[in-house]
Amino acid sequence: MTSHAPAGVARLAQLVGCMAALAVAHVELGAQVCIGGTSASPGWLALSGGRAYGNASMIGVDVARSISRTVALFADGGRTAYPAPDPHRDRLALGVAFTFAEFDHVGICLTPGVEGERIGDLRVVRLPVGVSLGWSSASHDGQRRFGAKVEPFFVYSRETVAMFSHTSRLVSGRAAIVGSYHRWLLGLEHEDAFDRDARWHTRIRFGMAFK
Amino acid sequence: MKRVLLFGLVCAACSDRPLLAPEAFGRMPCRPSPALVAMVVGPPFAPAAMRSALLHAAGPMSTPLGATSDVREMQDAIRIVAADVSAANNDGACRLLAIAAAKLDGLPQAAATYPDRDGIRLILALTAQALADVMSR
Repeated sequence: MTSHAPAGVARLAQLVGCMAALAVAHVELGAQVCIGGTSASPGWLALSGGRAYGNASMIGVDVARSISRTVALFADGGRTAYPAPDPHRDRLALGVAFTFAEFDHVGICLTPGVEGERIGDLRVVRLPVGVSLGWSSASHDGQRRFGAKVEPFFVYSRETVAMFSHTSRLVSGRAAIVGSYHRWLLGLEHEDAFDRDARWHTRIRFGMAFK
Repeated sequence: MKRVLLFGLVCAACSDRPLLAPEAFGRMPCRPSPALVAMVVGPPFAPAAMRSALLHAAGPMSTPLGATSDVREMQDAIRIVAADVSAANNDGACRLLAIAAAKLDGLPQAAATYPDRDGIRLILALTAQALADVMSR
């Protein structure tokens, strides 16, 4: 399943280092920062666009909504378009974020979810479980906010084409920063895998926070 | 919360099945195996021109290989490749071609079936070459 362990371990170590640095930061907390937002609203809707491995471009939309102080739901969907005549890849993900620790202005949450993907005849169902660590800071007037998150996650994946299928497991991770002004938010997200499924994407997110 | 954790642990405990033709299940557009493509030289056929040969490989040519589940799965995969090349579904054909080639390689290496297995492999290689040609344009 994995053939590039040394590089993967190095990247995982970098991610852990980032998490440790964030954990000791002493700044203002946002409630749902662990999934890349701020505490100023109960959720957001964002559009995104970016680049992905394989000379691909991607567009997407993500939405999140808090249903309690410690629980938020999120959904993420999009399309990755490869150069013609290759088929595009469609993706839809649903998940829940359970905040289980808050330290001043840092939140840590568990992010289980389910993802479905389709590229040509291939169907992929993935069950990611991540631990997301987020941080948020606000200006004195509360109008401007800045946040960041890092989220390593374990993925159980099942790929099916025609009547053939196989399962795999991998470790991946994503990091994001987001800034907001009033209800508008702008962010950057990068996701990368730590094993032979090494696929990355980087996207810019632009959205609006719910009232 | 406990259920979610339990589900995660169950998933983590699930053992992977042996990886069959990883290129067939990649989350990227499929490309034919370079090793398979390199088995043949010369100008490539059009993928659709391989249909009859593929159906022959999935039928009369593979009958002497027996009726095991691996043989049947190889035949099924080759039939889907034949259908996909006819429909210009090159990505789907590429994925099933990888599976068929892996199934063929996994069959018992009996000397009596060598000519049939080698003939099927040649057809798969020609198909891979044809697909590689159109997918690289």
